[in-house]
Amino acid sequence: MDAEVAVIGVGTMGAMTLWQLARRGVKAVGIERFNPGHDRSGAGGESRLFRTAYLEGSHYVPLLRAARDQWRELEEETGHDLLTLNGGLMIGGADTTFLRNVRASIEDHDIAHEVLDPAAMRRRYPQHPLGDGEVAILDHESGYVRPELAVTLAADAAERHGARVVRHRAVTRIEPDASGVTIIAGDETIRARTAVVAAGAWTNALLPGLTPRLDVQRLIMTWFPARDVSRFRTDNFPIFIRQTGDYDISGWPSLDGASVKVAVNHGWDHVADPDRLDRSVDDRLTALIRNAVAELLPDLYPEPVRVGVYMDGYTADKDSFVGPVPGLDNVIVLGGFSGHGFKMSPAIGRATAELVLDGGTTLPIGHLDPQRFHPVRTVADRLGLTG
Amino acid sequence: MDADVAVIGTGTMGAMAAWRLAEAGLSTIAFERFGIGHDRSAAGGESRIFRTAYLEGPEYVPLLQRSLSLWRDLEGHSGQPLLTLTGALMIGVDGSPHMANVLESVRRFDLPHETLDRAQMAERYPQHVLSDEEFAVLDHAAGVLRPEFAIIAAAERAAAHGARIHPHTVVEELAPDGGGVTVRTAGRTYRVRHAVVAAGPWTARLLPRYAGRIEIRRIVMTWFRAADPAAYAPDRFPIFIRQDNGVDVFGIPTLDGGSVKVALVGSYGTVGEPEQLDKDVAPADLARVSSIADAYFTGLHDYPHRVSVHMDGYTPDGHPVVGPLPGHPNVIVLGGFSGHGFKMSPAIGQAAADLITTTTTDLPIGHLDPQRI
Repeated sequence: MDAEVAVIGVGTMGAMTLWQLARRGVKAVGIERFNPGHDRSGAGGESRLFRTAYLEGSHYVPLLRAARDQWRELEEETGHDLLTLNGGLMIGGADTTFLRNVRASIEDHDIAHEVLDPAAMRRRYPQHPLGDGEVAILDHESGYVRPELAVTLAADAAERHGARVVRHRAVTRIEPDASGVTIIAGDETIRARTAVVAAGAWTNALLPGLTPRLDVQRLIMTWFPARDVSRFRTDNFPIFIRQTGDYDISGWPSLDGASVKVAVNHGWDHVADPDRLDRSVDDRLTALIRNAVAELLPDLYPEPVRVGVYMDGYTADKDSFVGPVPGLDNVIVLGGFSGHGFKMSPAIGRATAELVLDGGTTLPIGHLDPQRFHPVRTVADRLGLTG
Repeated sequence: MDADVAVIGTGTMGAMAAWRLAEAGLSTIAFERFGIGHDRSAAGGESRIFRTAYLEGPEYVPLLQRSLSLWRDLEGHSGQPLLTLTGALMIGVDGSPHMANVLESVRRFDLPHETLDRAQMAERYPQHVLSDEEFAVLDHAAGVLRPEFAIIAAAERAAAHGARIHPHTVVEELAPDGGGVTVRTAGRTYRVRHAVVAAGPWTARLLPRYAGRIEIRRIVMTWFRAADPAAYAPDRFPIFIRQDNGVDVFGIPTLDGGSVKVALVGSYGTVGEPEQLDKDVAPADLARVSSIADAYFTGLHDYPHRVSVHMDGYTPDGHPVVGPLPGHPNVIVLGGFSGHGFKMSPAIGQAAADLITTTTTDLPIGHLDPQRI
């Protein structure tokens, strides 16, 4: 065996998993087709949301709180600020599924928050003029994380704990068997007891049997100049999600002292081949976000001055795959984070390390089990005759 | 007549020209094919360098000094910081032509500066790893400009003085004659007394004489994570340019609290049609800048986590083209800034306004005369 665990892809999930394995003393190797910290996949763009009152469902909250603790541990180990909890405004129609889910998270898990009506918003956050019937919920357990710093620092920390990172090496095939996994990367072969596939947009190619297939989509981030940037600082402009009319957008405070990132909360289009990610964005495609900014954020100039292009794999239910791959021995997949994975990455790394070491995890990730799309066990399954 | 002047292209130079023209009292229309502040041409990528001790030649110094006062004027109106003085380290080998230009700029114009040998650099700026034969000149009249903001601020000032700005409007044809200039867009035709062509990489499409004479090159900016962000903050890490020993690299302190811009000059290829600018940089093409970030600096990550791609027109001699179009005195061309125009854009805009209002300017732009290309 070359290693106990081989992590394929040292991006967001891979770097966190490698760190969590290495700090537990596991002999681990990470294999990255570019270099940790590259901007060609899911991570990047200066900031990512950290949210706890979770519109995707109250059942995520314990995992998100575990993630917050893991972010703090990574910060302590590296000496860098990675997670800033400056609050999160969830803005929308009072009686929408979006805010019902946010309220359910708050009530089920006692999240510190405030409900702000239009008058309170005018007073406290005049950057967001609300429409009729709209309300904001300020979640005090929300904020943002720094993606590029986090991925590179986690990879560096893993190496300090003894992990090996193989750079600029693309894995072409994995061959699992009863006693381990053979990983073929060009002319190099690595043998490990367990493989963790955290290959982002390349997951489909490495796991041809994984179903349903991940739908890889472009994530596009756009930055808009502020008319007065002092109104968009971390201390007076919480992160936000807003669903108004046809718009579903997120925003962050200005981190560069000039521009404010406002992004659309869904994929922009489909990526046929992740090796050919198109980094240019047509003006016709940015019309949706330009219009949203013009209508909802009058203190910003509605023209993007920076455009960042990334990609992520989406599942049908927008819950990711975290766990053993159905039908493959010794292979764990971390994929399909559907545009909302970054915040939880250090907890996903911890859960994966526990799955590898203990065969199970105390973190609540049952809803992410890749088996959920394979609920019907056949006679052959029951008799152990499936390979 | 629809206006005294039409400005074609409201990017870096066009926005500045529109501001200076409108403030001088001329009725001005400006056209821009994208939005104001867009990232599809030369400007963008968070920061640009301002410096005065000029390695391209001391003849630029008065333009830079005039620009400094115009930057402050614009900043005062916009209410936001546009230029932060950090100083600039010009690093090179004694006796090289560009270090000679830096020293000559300093001497001729009595610029505030310090000369730092390798030991002094190691003491004061240990972020830089210098070789035995290198030294630095610290230019105090230098710092970081915010390009997107600056363009928007200039366009806003132009509008405040009455300029009519038309974003998302492509000028398809420009026809000067003895009595004025006809400017045709998809929607309508305008008749103006003068035109300023500041169309960046699209210049040759309107002025075919520049096809093949101004080469469009890709400009690639790359950012690296600092192990100690405080060591690369603007108060401890001046902007720098470092040439010689086979490198031509520049850098800007961290503005976002974690990322340092270290970028290579040249070496990323040319662009055919400006619409086809490739915004992607292949990983193999990042190997060289990565190895430089690793070898020439202390505590930078060995791979860029942010890459942005821009483009500029380059002339054969590396000097811009600023002045009346040969044979057509009512058309002023501002082009071919060869990768070093942003810092001087307010003075270039002023020169264009001067040429239109008085047919002459007291700014020294003789070396930028379009006749030479």
